[in-house]
Amino acid sequence: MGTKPYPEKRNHTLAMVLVIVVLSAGLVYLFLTVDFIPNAGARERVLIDDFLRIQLAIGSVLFITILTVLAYAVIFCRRRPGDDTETHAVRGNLALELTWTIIPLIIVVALSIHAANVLDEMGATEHALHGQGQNDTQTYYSLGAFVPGEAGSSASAEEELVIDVTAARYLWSFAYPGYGIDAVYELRVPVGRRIVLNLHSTDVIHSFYVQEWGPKQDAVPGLSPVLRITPTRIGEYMVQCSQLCGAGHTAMTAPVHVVSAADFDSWIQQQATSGNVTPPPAETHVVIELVARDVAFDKDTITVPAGVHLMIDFDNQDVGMPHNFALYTTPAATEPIFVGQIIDGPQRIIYPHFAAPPPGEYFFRCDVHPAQMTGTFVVQ
Amino acid sequence: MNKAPLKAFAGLAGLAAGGGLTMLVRLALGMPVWKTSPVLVVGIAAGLFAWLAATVGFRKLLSLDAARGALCGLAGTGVAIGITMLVRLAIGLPAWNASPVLTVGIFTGVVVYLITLGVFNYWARWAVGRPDGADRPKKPGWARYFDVDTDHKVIGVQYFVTGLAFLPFAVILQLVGRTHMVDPDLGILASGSYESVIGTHGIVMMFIVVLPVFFGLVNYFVPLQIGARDLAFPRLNAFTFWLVPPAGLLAAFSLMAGGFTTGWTAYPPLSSSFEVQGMDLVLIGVYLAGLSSILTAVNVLATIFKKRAPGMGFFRMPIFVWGTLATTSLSLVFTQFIGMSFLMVLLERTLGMGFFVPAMGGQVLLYQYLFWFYSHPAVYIFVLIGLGLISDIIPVFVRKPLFGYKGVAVSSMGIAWGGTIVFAHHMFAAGLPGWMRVPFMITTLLVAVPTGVKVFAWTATTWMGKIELKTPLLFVFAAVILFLIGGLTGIPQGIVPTDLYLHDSYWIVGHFHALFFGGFLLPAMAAIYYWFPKVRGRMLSEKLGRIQWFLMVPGMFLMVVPMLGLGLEGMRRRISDYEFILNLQPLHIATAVGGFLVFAGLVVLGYNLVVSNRRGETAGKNPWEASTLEWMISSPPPEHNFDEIPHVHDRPHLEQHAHVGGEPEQKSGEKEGDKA
Repeated sequence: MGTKPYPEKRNHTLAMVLVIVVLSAGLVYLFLTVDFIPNAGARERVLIDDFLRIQLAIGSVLFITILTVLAYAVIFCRRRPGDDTETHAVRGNLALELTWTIIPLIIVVALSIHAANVLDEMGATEHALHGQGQNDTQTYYSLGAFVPGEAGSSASAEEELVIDVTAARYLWSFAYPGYGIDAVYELRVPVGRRIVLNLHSTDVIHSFYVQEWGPKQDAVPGLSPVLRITPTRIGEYMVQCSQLCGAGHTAMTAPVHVVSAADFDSWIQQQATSGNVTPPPAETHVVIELVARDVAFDKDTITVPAGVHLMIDFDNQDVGMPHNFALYTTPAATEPIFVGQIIDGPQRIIYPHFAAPPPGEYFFRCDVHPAQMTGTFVVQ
Repeated sequence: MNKAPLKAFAGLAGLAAGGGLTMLVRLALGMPVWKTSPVLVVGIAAGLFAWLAATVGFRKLLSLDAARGALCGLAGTGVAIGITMLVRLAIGLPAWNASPVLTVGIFTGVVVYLITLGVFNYWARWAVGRPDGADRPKKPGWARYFDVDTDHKVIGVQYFVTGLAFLPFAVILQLVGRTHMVDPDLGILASGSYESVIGTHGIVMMFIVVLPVFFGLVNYFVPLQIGARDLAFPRLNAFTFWLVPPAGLLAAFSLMAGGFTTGWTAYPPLSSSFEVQGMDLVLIGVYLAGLSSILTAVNVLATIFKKRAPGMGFFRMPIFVWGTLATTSLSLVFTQFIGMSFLMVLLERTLGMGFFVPAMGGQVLLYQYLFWFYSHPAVYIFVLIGLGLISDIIPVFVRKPLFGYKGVAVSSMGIAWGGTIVFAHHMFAAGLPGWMRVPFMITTLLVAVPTGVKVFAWTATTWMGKIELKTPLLFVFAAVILFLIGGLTGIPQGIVPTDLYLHDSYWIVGHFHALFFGGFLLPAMAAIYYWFPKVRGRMLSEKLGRIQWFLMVPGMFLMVVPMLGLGLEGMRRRISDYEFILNLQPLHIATAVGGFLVFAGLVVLGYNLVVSNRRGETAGKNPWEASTLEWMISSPPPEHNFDEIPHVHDRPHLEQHAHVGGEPEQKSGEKEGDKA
């Protein structure tokens, strides 16, 4: 058999290149035209989608190339029965190896530059952390981080709608400081206007995410990260918490209404007249803050609406002293409704949520100090 | 005497005793007496042990180091828990508080286990000037593997079998999870249980399956492939292995202790909260596994640097050894960071410290920086050995040397060390300073270059070879394709704008499963078929191998591609219900079916291993006609490995790689077409 490989190399190379070109062209066309991530509802989502298509198209060319060459070899380069010789021992080819090192390098650098520009366009390279001197004269970075300059889009500070988002297990609440609205539980925004979401968390890490809007941003205790979105489509969407935050993570959602500018303005008027407090929607969670200090609770009466799930945000501030929160039907404390874990101070815990009992008067206490730390629990 | 009734009686008595004891303990601690999981699990474990004792013989069972260590370790844990509770009472605290009591108990129990196991005996005897006992007679047969033994081949099998033993457990966990996700309304898993199941699946797979399986192969074959008689520090090696079984048991038993709803990443503040009850066991278990990983790295690096055969320069080592070199160099210096970050969470839980509590001056994100500084290099630790296996197995079955060997060798180190400066790409949505994201994007994308070098080299090696589609090669080709999918789907994640959409979605889950399949599981399957003849002297059944391939590989595609699709649709990961958001059930059915197919393939593998171990066709020294050094000795190898250490002349995958005896050849074979 000698040192010559079996299959006629030249013909097979040509045929293979043809297969690669045809299949790649097909996949690239599909990725660039088919709308496989549906329901884009914000400017940022469209930027992401377009770039994602390009990345997947490039990837598919590479994938088809490798797959085709391997498949071809498996079909045509089989060892013939009875042939015990080795092949022509090709150790390498410097030109080829340099090529397949340098071309990916070029592709990767090009993708990085484009990505930095897309980030600028999304307004995502503006100060992501509070306290970095961000305010009116915001610096937009081109090329992502290194060169100060003009960004692709620049909505001025007055046009942006600032909303404070607070995440607590397992509830989203929204405040509109510019309009004096303190806490609503549904996010309502006008279409076409850029919103700036200041994210806060009171307990663990959560993440703000609306699928139709695109990017996510974690809400981290102790930080105030910012997410900028320009909704482009009127409709009903959903905020989904996107960072595992406990047993209620799956259901930690909130409705989002993208409405016309006129509808938004009339809603603002409505909020002003009704006193800025919309009650939380039914079947939601209510967080009750309770502090234990100097062997006493900070409240001796707690009142909650009926039909909700309750979460006690319990802050034990007594150093070295164990306390808990426990709810019973009567002061005799024979029938428990909820018994929270005893924790040593200083420590803060959010107890797992439980359903509010039927309307009536109940009794709560600390099980470690049942005589000194007591109170009345009213469900209306 | 018919022992069957005695064995059955022993088993039932153990079940009753174990279950009863658990109920008594729960009564004493003020918990509800009956809870299905803990009572049944302890009961069944005790029953199994009693049945084993009756089968094997109580005396023989207790003569095994492992049994002795396990029993004493459990007793030590119980005693330490009791003492801790008494001390707490004495100083005025409530007796029971899960975190500190369990932590003290478990650490004490592990130390007692290690001492009574006997891993310190060699050093203890040597320290007092007595003969160290390394030449005591070994037990015949399977019993030897339950003792402390310094032979790298025994330790390799111990690691490997431990890893394989935990694999079905971790897979079944996830099968339950996938079944639940087919129709969450059925409530197969309660809310909060699903998150525990997937978290345990992740931790066990990564630290108790991937690391032991690969380190088992490394322990067995690196000395053979470089012509050494053992690792550099055999006694350290013995100690290092025995850290793994308690790590595995702790991770598995975290489910019983209440599970952990944080996912394997264990981010505080959630992981510090008492709602997450099983967290302590996982933190300690991973700590032990990490320690084992670091010590293995010390040992293997010393071996590779100091114990190579004459003539084996670095650029004449098999790529499996290069992959090991890259892996252990990372393992040595980065594992400390997960140990540290987990320890900090443990201290938050047990002592109320505030590293990550803003109100106490801490920072939440600190954990993520520390954690990912290890956990990103960790993923290269998980796959580099597998990639090395691919690079070594292809040439054997296409009868052609690895194309661009030097580039592939260097790329192992390039991927490993390039991958040390990319870690913040896991945190693009986490609240990083605005300037930080783009630099990490650039470094992340750059790692694609050495990865590409490997894939292209494999392809060029295969092109124009003389291919024999034996089972190892079948698994390797499937590995290449899945690994390629994994790598390419990583590009949208490395690029910040697209990652901000895909982060924490099923796209990520599909991406890393493709990488684990292509970089770990499939190469491990290939290695089993490739090296079982060397270890046991028998061939595995090719027919069963193909059946396994046809079950596992389509199953893997059926898992990975729908997951990528779910991610594009915007489905979050780590959630236990999706039906109130989007109708995505068909894709979930597909992933579940895929998962079951993969499991079926593993069952076929198990059957193949058992059957071929007894009745497989005898394998000679070198059934695959490969050229690396392990094929120059008998199957199974003798205790001392080589009668005479071979001389190495050229790269592996070439006929003139090495030979034994006679004069070492001077020329290193500049052949026609030889470049690079």
